[in-house]
Amino acid sequence: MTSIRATDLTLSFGDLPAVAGVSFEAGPGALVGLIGPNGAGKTSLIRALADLVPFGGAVEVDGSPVRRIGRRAFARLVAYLAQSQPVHWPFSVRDLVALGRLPHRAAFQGLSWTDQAAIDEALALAAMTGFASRPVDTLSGGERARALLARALAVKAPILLVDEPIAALDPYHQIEIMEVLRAYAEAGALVIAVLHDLTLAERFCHRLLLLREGKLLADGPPAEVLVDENVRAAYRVAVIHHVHDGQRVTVPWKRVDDL
Amino acid sequence: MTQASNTRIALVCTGLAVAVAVLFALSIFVGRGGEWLPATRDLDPGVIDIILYQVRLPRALLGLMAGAALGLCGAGLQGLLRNPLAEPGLVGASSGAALGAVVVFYFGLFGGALAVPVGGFIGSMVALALLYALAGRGVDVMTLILAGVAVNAFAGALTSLALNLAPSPWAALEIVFWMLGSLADRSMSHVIFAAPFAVAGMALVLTSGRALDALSLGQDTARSLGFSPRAATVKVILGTGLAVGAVVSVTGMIGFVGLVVPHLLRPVVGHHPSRLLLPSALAGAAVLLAADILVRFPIRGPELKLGVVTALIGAPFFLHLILKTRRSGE
Repeated sequence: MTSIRATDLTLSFGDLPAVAGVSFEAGPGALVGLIGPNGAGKTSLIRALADLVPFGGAVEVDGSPVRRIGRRAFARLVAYLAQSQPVHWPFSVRDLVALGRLPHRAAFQGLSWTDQAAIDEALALAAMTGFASRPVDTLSGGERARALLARALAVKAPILLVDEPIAALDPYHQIEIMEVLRAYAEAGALVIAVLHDLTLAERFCHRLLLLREGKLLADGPPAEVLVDENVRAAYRVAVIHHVHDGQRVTVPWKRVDDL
Repeated sequence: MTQASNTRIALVCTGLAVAVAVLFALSIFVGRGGEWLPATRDLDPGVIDIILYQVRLPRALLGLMAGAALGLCGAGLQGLLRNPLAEPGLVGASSGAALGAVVVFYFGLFGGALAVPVGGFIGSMVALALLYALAGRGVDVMTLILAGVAVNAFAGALTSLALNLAPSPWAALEIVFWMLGSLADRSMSHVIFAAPFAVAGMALVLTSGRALDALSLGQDTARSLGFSPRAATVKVILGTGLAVGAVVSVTGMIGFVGLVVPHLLRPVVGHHPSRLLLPSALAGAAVLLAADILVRFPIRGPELKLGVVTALIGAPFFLHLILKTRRSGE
């Protein structure tokens, strides 16, 4: 059971602060949505959590500062899926997903049965089993997003960080990806996802972190975070709420420029 | 990497190794005009020994080493730069070696048989240091490519300057002939000079396979999979500089092998950089040994230079490649 804790995390590009003192802790079994307007510092924060950029403050995984965890060990603990992830060679889907097993393999070592099982499982979870032998460059946008997600799932890391996994997908594939992320979380992992779609974030996430100008504006269950006041303050947008099947639905409705 | 593809790579490598062994033997026994030694002529056994051991063996060994280095480093660089059009010359080691050799010719520094290789190798190391200074600590692919272009252009300009100012036509001709690339008339001391650097450089590239695989998903993902893009960059560039610098200093410029060989193999072993490394080394050796046997069959006149043959075959292939890439990009 693995948890992650950020304490007073800061990150800046030159003089421009991107993340300014964010603290939170999150444990296993949760899908946590990281939301906020463009430029709020979501990508910077998730890249800091993945130890991809220098940052101030502390990030700990299970109480150990990330910089004290070895590179390989960290790669097995925390999987990361970048926004608009490039794939530079036309691998087959299965070969692409197999790259997720790299942190588990020694040099010149082929794939073990454990690796093969993890790949099969990731393909199945992302509903990509039938596409295993297809070259990645022949996939549609939705299939490609699932293949890339399967690559990250194949790491079988207890913590999965994903940056805008459903941007540029149609509603069907957005819901599909959110279901996969939630299923992976409910199987015992911690998933932190950068999201723009507030409706889907509310529907699928157990918890939301709302960022504005590098600071945490709100943190809690979606119903508490996505209140009109917060969304106005962060996005300059008014929302309408609706209840469907006993669940609250939040829809961004109109711009509010006279704050 | 499935079990099946592992088996396939093992098969490919075995096949290529057999081909290399056969071509290596042919390189030792086939002479100019296809003359077969020792069978064809009645020669003194002592002379035959000299031809086999002091002329043909070093030539075959150099072909093996140079081909393997060029093929392997080509595959490694294409993986590192995530660009199928990358080739070993990109890091500037070849043009640096040419400049170093030219300086030796120009100033008449003929301090023994190894003067040119030593000068060439120093030149390639200077080029590598310059590349490092230009590209800096970053691992940005575009910066690296541009720095390589700059180093190549500068070394090329200085080489042209030396040719321009060459004290005698003879010196200029000597320089041009060396730059055409050849394995002929090299001795065992050439092999012994180049081997340690070539082997060390190839070891650096060969052990970068997994990092190169990870880099095919970009630097962030490579890092998140536990690999340092910077370490991989240093290993592959330094390895290529050492291996290619060492062999080119001895053989002169041999183009297109490093560019073309990985492409010949991708349809067979797949696109993973790690899967291409060893087969590319073997196929590079096979291609260069074969080309070096080919140049011994001149239609008339002097023996063809090896670099001329690889360029004659490689350039049209390169064109085909660009057209294919453009078509698939449409």
